[in-house]
Amino acid sequence: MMKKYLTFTTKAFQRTLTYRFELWMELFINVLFMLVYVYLWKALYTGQTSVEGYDLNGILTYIVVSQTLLTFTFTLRVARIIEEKVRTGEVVTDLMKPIDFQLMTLATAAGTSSHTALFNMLPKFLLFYGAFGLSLPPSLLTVLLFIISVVLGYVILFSMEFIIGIFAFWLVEIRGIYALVIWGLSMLFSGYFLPLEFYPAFLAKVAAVLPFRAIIYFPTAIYTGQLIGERLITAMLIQLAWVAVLIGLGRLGYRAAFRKLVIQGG
Amino acid sequence: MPIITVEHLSKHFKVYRRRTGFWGNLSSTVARQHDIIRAVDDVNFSLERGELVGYIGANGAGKSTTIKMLTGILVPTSGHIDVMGLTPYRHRKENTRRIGVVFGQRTQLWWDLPVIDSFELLKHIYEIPQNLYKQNLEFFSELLQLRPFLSTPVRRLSLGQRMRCDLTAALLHDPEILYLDEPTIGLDVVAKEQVRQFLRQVNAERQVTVILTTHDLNDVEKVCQRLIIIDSGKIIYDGGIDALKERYGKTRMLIIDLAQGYSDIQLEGVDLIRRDGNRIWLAFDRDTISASEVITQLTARYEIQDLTISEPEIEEIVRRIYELGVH
Repeated sequence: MMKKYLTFTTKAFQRTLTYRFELWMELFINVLFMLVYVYLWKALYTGQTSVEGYDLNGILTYIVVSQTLLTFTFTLRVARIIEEKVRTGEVVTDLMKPIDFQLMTLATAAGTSSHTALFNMLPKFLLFYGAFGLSLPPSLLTVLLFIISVVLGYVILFSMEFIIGIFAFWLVEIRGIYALVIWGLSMLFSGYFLPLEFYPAFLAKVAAVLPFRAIIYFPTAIYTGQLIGERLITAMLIQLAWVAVLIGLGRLGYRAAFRKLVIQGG
Repeated sequence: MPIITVEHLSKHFKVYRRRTGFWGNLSSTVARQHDIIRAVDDVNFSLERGELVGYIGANGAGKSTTIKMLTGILVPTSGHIDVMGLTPYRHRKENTRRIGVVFGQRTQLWWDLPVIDSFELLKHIYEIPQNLYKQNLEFFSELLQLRPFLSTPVRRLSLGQRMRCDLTAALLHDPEILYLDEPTIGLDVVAKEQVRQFLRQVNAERQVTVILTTHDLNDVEKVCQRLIIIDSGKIIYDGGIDALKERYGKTRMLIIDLAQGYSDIQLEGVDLIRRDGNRIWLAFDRDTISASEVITQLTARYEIQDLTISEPEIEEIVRRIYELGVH
């Protein structure tokens, strides 16, 4: 059963190797952006020792970790892939297989993203870690919790993209919703831009009820040691809850979409 | 016991009408009007295990809609479908395990990966036991000569090679029924022939029931024993190919090269179908006038250089059925 889906993961991983040049270009541009960002924060911290509990080293660590995690957001193409499958009618081929569409999509995305994690995110992070003398997580346990939190955040991001993709069954064009959710709301509330502690109270409150902070802020704050003890456990429970809710909504969505497809035709 | 039974099957689609202009647009928004398209309209047929059937019709006749209902990805508006004892749209997953589907216009192979990787993926999707997988892969690689490009990425295959791979992909899990939607579209003559040969062989050796939709009636003539013609959602012919020819193929065609360009050609009981320089095409009904009578008339009036007589191609017959209906 699991083997079936793991094959999608390994094949997707393999497929990513096809476009090596693009991957190198992507990495190169990412690194440039991160450099600019790091120097910006260094400049902002001139004459400051600590802001909202972050010293210079703390903020740089936060920025590099969150920027690295952001890579998932702009390399995950789940919504676009579903939209294209609907537009070309290829989704029918998936329907004709004894397979769960959502799990298959997740397994495939995981394959592509593992490649991204290994060959883009990890080298990028190590480069900045070495160049700017960033901190490591306080303990080995934190590293482990960080990784689990990253995975949960990833599944939340996936589920959002999946739901957006499902809209393609009803709408001709999903770029609007995609831009609003992923480039608008997610950028603002996921905490990639700056730590959520820096937000004015009302924006922080809005961020607290939305799922976006569970994508980047939680794992990053676990890494930097901002989230510890009870607050860390709460954060991870919130992540788990969002995974359940969003995966569930995605399932309802695609069931409805397939029902529409099989009743009204593609 | 038929493997497929279709009774009073209908599929109607609502198509919303949009009126033009400002007021039209406004009223469409308030009260939408729709037309009902009867894509499939009270269709009945049944197939025995091991049959090889051509399902043909003009564009929009209802072929694909029927196939989609048989494969379970479209729910009928009314009527009854039984495929291997299952109701396809209710038992979609169970049904998909036991059928194979090939769409000529699209591929189920992963574009950027070597062919063999897609096959391995299918092995896991259908949970094919390793030795059966090996055995089938061996069998199809041999029959379709896939070995030279098994490790080539799909995007680099020619259309003919890709189709051979898609046929294999649809058959690796030993389906009982194979649905083919225009499998020879865009292929050259040699590749078409390969596909036809393959279908005959798979049908004969593995007892796979095959339903084939196509626009190329040579496919039907060379591959199928039985022909179902659908037009405007209704079945207008269901029977053997020879019977069809017997029934509708009484017209004979005479192609004549005249020695010179006669200004007008008049013969009794014969229709002049076409004229191209000194070559003329004549059609006559073999029940009203015999070929020798036509030729006697011709030689009496005109000087002839060459002459051929032909039975109507299945294509010609079907074209006439589309145009004139069954009578």
